[in-house]
Amino acid sequence: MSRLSRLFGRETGQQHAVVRAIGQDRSATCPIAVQSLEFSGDKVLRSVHTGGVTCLDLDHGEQRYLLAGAADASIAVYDTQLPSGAEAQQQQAEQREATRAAAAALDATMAPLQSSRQVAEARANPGGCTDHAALFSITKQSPGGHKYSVAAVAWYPVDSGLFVSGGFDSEVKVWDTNTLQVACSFSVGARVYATAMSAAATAHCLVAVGSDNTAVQLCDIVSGGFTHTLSGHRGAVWAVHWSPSSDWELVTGSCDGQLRLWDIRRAGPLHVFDQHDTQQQWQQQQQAQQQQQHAQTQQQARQPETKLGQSRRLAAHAQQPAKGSGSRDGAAAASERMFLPERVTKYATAHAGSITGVAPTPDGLHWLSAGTDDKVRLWDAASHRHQLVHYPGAFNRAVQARQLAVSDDGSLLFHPLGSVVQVYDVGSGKMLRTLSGGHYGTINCCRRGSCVVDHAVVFVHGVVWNATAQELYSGSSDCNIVVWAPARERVNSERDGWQRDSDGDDWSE
Amino acid sequence: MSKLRLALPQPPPKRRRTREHVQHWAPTAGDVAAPSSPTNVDLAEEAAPEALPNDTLTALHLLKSRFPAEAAVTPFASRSQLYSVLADRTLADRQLEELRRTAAIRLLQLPASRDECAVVLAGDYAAAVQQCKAGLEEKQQQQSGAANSRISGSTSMDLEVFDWFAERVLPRCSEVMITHSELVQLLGTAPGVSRLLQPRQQGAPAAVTDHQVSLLLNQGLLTRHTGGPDGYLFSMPNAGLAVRSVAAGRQEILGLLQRRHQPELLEAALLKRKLQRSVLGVRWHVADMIGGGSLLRISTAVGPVLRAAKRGG
Repeated sequence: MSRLSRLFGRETGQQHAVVRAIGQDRSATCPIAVQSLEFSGDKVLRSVHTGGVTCLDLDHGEQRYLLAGAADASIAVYDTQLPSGAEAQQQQAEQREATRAAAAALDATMAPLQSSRQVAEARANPGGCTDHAALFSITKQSPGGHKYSVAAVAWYPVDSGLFVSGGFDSEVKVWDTNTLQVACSFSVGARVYATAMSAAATAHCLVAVGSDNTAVQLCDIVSGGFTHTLSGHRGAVWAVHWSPSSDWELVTGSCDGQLRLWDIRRAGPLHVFDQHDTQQQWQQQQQAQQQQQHAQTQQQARQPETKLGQSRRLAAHAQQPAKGSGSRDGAAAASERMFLPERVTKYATAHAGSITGVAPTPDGLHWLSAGTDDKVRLWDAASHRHQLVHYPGAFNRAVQARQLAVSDDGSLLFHPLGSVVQVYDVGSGKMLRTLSGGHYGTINCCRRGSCVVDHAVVFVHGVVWNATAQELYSGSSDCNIVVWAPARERVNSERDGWQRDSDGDDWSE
Repeated sequence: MSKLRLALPQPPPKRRRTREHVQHWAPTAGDVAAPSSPTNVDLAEEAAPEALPNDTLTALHLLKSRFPAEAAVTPFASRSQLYSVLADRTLADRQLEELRRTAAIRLLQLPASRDECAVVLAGDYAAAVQQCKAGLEEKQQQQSGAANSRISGSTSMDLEVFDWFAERVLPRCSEVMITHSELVQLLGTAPGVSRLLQPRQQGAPAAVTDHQVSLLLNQGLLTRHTGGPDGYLFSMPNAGLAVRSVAAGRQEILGLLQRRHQPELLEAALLKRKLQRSVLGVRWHVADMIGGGSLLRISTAVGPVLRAAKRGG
């Protein structure tokens, strides 16, 4: 039984064994049908934004509510599971056009708003798809709304009662979802590029804020103040992500190309990732050390120890702690160089350009980072080494943060490139697919006089993977959010397949 | 009669070399066909049959054989050239890393180019170091011949630093950069003696002077690292010419293509041209750009055609 068919079993509430089996599913037995991910004709998210969508987040509890922030300072939440009624859609569409017209009256060079291709298709084929309009939206005019572009949004990881947004007006605001009021607000002092809350943390409620400041600030929602300042980066911090396995660790990536791992309980970075510090080196050192120790114990067991032998052993032991610390810091086993820690903090970089996105794999074993040197790098979370997996074609010239997404079983990486989304295999680095055709540039016309038709280039800013529904959402600068879902024929065949399989009684499973 | 059973040593198992994974790189007369890599290579297996070189090492030798001899730089290859020869990039990266660690090659970060590393074989680099030394010795002899009473700027003692560099620093430091204190320490330590157990002697060899380090800098074997105050990057002599050639050659080829109606050209026609701003030759640049993704190689009925690639979706 494939994954999709088991999802249907869970939806209809049949067979508890099926529910358990989904959790144990590994990609080796039931790989996600990445070949069938396509522009969804069944589900349409009607965007209310009149500026480019800059950030997306899906709530952790139910994986149901999609939070989106846009460049026109609007924040909206969409329900991805229940479609909305027709009146709500109508209302929102009108509202959107009205705001757009108002903005266009002030600035006549703005391009006319183009609905996404999905919306157009939905209009053409009203019976076949479900429309999901925004449940609510917060705009510039709402009380407490951001004044400039919203650059980062994050749900409160425990439930969807709170969410956090950070914008170019240097403010990080914590909103109550039910009343749409600002519960508390932090003034950071520089443009905010990234906000993150820890999904694993039970002991704290800290929001990590990456901004134009080179120091990463941690804000506490409970007390309303700043608790930590993590300094050490030499450029603006564009990417922040908490560790999925530890309450206290987070990874930050900045414009100077440094990727730092912090433990907030201690001062200074826990580790600075170095692209030249690789897994193989570490493995060789470990092997060499083990062999050495093994040889030593063998030697001791064989001969009675003379005085010379004793002094030699002591000398070897004296040498070993230095070598041990050296191996931890990454010195080559062949060389006898002492590894100086300041070399790492001064010179080590994870990428040769700026780091635009950081994402951990859900099992917490690896970190992925993307940079403007056209590289995506895989890091081992335990040894902090570069895994040397090559992801070809990851061209990147972003001027702001771009979210990466990793599928829930950790086998797929979704990397936004221009107006398409590339799908890579995390382990081998192979490019599996390019999801294209979802986002289009608008046609810009000059006002009065000659009409210049020009295709603006569209950038996808954020991608989010929905594990429960096996869908991908991508938000881009064409103000739309596109849903990529498994193909309808495959979904139907899976559903039929499941129904056929489930005809047997409980004993046969 | 007892039969003697001779246990003959088994020959090492031959790896199956299949051609499916080799990208379509039309072998020309002087070429050695690049062997493909088997799909699941265990790096431990690589170490055992030492007679068989790494796929990456073979590819590097292949690229070196194509390097124009008249260019006044050490033969070097770029990573993207390796990617154009080898099919599996992750494997190429890992094998390159292993080669670097075992000091079979050197990775040089070329100045003023983002993240591009030049790959130089260790033998070639050592030869370049010796060449620098020989050049300086000649100059010294000429100067001392001209004015024999004057003491020239660099004495023969100073020229020892090149030997120290080759024997003491290169085998022990396989990174792309080195800090000043590490460099001085390594230059002063004789090879084979553990630095940690070195007893302090009265007759210890003289410490390396700044003048000697500056000799290395002047010859181009080290350059200052821009990331911090006291770091050096390993580099090769005439690196400026190499970097200029790499950038200018790329621009020239892209320009050639973009000026045409369709940005494509027959490879055979392109190979006949001579580049005006680059000493590396068209073939070097074509391999580099195909691996880097800015050129696409399309096979047509009249032969392979090179097209400028559009990026960004």
